[in-house]
Amino acid sequence: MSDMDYVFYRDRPEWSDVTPVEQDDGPNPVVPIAYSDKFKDALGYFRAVLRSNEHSERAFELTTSVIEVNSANYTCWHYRRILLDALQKDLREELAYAEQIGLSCPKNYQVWYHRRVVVERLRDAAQELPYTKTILGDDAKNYHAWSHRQWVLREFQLWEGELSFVDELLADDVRNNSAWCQRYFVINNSGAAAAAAAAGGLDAVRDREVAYAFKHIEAAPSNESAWNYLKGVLKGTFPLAADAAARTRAEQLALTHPAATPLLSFLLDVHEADAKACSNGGGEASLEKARELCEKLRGSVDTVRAKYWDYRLGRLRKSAWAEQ
Amino acid sequence: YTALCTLLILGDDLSGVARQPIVAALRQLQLANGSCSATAYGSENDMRFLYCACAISSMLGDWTGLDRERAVGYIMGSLCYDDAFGQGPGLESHGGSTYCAVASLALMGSLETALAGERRERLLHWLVNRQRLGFHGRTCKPDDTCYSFWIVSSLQLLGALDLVDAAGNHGFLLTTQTNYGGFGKWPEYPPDLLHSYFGVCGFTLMRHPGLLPLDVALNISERAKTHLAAVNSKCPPVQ
Repeated sequence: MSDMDYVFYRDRPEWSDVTPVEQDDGPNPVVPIAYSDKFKDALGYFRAVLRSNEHSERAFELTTSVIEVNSANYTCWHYRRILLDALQKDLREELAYAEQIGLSCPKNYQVWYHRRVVVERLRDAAQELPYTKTILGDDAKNYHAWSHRQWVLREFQLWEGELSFVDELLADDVRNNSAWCQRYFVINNSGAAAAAAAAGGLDAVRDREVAYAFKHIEAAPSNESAWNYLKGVLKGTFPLAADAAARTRAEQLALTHPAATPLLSFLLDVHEADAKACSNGGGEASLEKARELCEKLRGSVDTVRAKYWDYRLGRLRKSAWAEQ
Repeated sequence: YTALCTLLILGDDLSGVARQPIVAALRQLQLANGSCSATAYGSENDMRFLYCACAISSMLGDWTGLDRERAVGYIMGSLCYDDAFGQGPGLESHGGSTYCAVASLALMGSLETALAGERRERLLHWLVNRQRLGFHGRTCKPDDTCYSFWIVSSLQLLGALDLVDAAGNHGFLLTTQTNYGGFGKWPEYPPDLLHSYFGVCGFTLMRHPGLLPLDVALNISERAKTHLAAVNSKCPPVQ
């Protein structure tokens, strides 16, 4: 209904039997909100309907008006869900409504929750991947969209095509940390990954992911997201020193990119792990390499974190396995 | 959470607060997975409300409304592959949820056991890497005023506040302060209450003169926290 057509509830003859209930802000309201007339009118009638617990079409329409003036009113959304049930409303129409509101406020918690409840009741997630894709098209890092998408994937087992979707997003922006996170999520939760692991062993999956990470790292060696993904994948194989392929590629890259902070940081971790692994003093060379990297990061490459690299240097010196 | 904080800030003695119903409500709002939702009507559940439940329990000196073991289970289950915390399992690590997780652990007295050794070191690494000039909440996102609170207070809770580059942080915050007063989230952005509050917190954490020190776990001033302690000393604590 356009602004021109909107009729205040107090002017609707079909609502003349209802007395609106004013908001009670107490005797001395602090920082009272300057509600618009439209807002006060709709909420006044909503409070009345809540009190009388009216389940009707007109009450349902009223919830639409309240949501229009405040889409975050969770009491209203809750009441609307009660009415959806009581009036046996068409849930597909409701999904369309949720989409309309959602597209205009993509970071509204209540809308996303409402959508989830409707989808759960419908037991039909056919629109969810396209919908979240649309939202992510406007903002590729919308946390709500990713959260909803992960829920859909898990709940309805719709894993197929997700890795390709992640690939597309990374092609758009290789630094999209949300996309990297999604890849990790899929690899670790979808049945396909488990099957690949069963077929080729966990090592095969890990090797593939290491290669995937490096493909993107080589294109943008300072991309922290890709390095974090790599480290995440290698976690199970700590000490870091154990993965020869990753170490070799990193060392090669360091020759041509001597100032890529996350690369140097990764090598620091590798040498520190090497030193730790040598218990009889054979780790001196690794410790020296680790110290050099700390000095480089602290002194020139990553000076914002000078105090942190100082801290790391201190830890290297203090560690029980370091030579005195 | 905000009502109790507001009362404490205003110096109220909480005599008008019915503690038992609040604690009973928390029991209803914690889910099987250890997280909490916001209302009995049903809402999303994530690290935010778990934090609120911990803060409420702490302020009331009554933890009987929260299953702390389950809460810690949810928190640790929300550790992302990059060693910080998402809003829930599988989700991207984020400065806001990381603060909520770390502060909740601190309030529950589980910080030292849950985040020790390597885990603590890796989380520190993630946190300090959230600083470009000011701070941002997710890897490869732009700096935003409010993360000068979420990230820096997490560092403080882990005993690593001194690792922050104060000059850069200070400089960034000055760029998000507006001519109208207050702070926006980004430079040239209009101010809002949330970013203004956290902008002031950002300066507070760096011991800017003239600002009351913060109790970072509860996110109220030490003054309000001291008042809370005085109020509760007159109240028998509940185990």
